[in-house]
Amino acid sequence: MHIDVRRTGGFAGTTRGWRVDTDSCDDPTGWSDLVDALPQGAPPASNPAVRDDFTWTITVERTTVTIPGSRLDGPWAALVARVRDEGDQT
Amino acid sequence: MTPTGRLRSVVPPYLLRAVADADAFPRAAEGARTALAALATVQQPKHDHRVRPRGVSGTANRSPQRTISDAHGSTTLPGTAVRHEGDPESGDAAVDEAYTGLGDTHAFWLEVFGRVSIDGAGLPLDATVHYGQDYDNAYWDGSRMVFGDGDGEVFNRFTIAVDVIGHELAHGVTQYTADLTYQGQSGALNESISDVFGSLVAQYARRQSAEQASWLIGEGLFTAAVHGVALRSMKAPGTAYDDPVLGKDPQPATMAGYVDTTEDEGGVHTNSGIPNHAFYLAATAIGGNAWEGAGAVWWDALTSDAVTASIDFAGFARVTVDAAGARFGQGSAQQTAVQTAWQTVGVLN
Repeated sequence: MHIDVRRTGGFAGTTRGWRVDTDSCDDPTGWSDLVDALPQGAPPASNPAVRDDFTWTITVERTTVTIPGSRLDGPWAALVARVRDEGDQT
Repeated sequence: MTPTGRLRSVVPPYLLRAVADADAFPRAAEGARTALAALATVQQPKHDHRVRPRGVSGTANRSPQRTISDAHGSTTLPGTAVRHEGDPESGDAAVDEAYTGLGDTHAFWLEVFGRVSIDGAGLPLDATVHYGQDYDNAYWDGSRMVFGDGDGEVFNRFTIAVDVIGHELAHGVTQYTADLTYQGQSGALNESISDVFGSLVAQYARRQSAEQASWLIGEGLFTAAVHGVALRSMKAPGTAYDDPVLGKDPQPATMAGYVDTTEDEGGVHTNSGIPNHAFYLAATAIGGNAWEGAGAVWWDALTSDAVTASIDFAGFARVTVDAAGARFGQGSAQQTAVQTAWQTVGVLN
């Protein structure tokens, strides 16, 4: 399973990206657990009053969601954190 | 920006659960396409036109009302209040920099434009520091400023530069005045207004003339490991950094380099280089203290009824030219400087 994480916007306006192929990781079950734990509802919408926020674009295989940085929390945040820690920069 | 406009696709929960199952992928892709099609039909909410207070309200408290909170590395807002108005220094650099920066910003708006706080009516100034882990950002959430500590490798703490604090508070000022829509050219103007007044806050605090100012945004934010002097340069957009990890500063200085993109709300932090450079050109051509020349013209424009929320670069430029004529006289050197600046960056013919 490929997981791509892309961060755009923010005060600096720079784009950063990370990617993992969980099949080649030591702990594919752990990754499956992280994906299974993702919330069942729609991801949080952006607050239109926020300025300079990050935007996170998270792609798990062919499914892509976009989440404002100020609302990245819980299982989504856990997934992003692990991809950043263990993934390759893209 | 609308609440829905930023969502590239809203994925139904059953598709998320099915992601690990290869057989379900065609359905996931179809679901994403369906969500996209649905989003395209969502109407933009009507712009909520805001009252534009000018000058000092008779009842407004003219003193800053600052509260600095500490998120202790979490992303929960507001965190714990650690320094209130009038409290002595805390000894925590981020807390004290935020407190001082808010004071500098409050003084700038009050002493230069007679505006009491960001809403013109003495709104308390709230900030949260130590937000998140290795958090490389500062943002305005509609009512408070939020500052990360940086990762220590690329970014230092975001309170280190007073123009960054002034930038975030200027987002509040824009919210209470022209309320420029955070998308495309009006979004890049929103960003540029924050850089302009963030820079002016720093220049005013240091009593620097336009000639003495660095015209850099976020000087000191990068660690010594980064090949760069700041995040942006109003004097020379596109030259602030050129680094193996971060890449090169992508800002254009003129319309010839305008970046068409869907990311970052349509490149609001990139294309802001164009109006930023126009301001720099006008300010240095007028000379003296930038907050008294070009800064005053930009402030007149921001609070003009002629500036709509969705205005583009050329529309805003024309308002500044008119404002310069109204403030300094038709055909004045200041008006000519503003007109020439917008022509130089390719926004006006």
